[in-house]
Amino acid sequence: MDANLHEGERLTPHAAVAEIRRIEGLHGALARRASGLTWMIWGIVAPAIFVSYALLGILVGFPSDGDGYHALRFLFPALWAPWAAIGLVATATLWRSVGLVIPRRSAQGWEGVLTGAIIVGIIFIGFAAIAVAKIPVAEFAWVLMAQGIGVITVGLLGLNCNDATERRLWILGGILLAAVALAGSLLLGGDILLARQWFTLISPLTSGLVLFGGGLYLTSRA
Amino acid sequence: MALPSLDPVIHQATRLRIMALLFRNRAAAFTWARDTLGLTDGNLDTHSKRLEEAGYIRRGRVLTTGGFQVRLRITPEGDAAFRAYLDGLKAYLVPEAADPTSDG
Repeated sequence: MDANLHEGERLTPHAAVAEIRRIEGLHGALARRASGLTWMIWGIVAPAIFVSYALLGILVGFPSDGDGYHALRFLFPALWAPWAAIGLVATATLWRSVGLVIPRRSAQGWEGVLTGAIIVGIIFIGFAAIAVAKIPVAEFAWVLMAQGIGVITVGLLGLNCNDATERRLWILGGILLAAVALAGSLLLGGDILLARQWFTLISPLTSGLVLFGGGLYLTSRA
Repeated sequence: MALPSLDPVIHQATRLRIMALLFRNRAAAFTWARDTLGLTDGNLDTHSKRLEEAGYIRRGRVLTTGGFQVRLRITPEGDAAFRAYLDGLKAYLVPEAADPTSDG
């Protein structure tokens, strides 16, 4: 027998598990850091979307106000898309780089796409429901709430999670986003103009702090 | 409870490490796998041949800017075998199976 084979080497099941965990651990930290960086990317993109819509709202007025025609009104349903595209490209580039070392984790890109679809879907379904039911809700409050519900859903489904801590962070982050949206809406009552003014500040700050802060935590613990 | 027998091709320290690395990475350059796992050329060569004979990995050469590179790639059979091995290990690690007096 070849001297390199060492077939007689005794390996207990516990030692085998320890060995597998050690090999997994070689790249687990990289995957966790990349997840953290992904959160940080979206912690910049999400507030940028809010700020863009706030500027457009100042310029054009919000569609729910129904105050006539403006040439830039067509931007309302689509203004989020360029920002989302930037976030998507940055995220895809990051994970393609990670994929040079851990292709299996990188190949789970569909989970990221599904995550985006869930959040955007909840936002648009909510807007349609609000428009039909004519509920007096500040637009930014609903988007923040929808982000929270989407993030909780993703956490419950276990998408994009390297481990249990990351899953808990998705759920906790979503609860924070939804709780701030709910508390702000309740405190500001039915005064839609006041709520809109406050949520122009609250929504980008909250989403930025939660997503960027969550990402920072993930990268620092890896 | 009868414990499943663990695949003897995989249940060996060095081959287990090679399979765990390839299960995670799908493919790896020979030199990178050698350095990552802290093996010698001969050791990795011998064990990877054994895994190749079992149909669990494929060895091939690819042309890179630095010349020909030997690459190791896990096969679908290897992927399935490693998953089955992990399932087998789990059976050993449940509390009742961990009885040290058991001769399983």
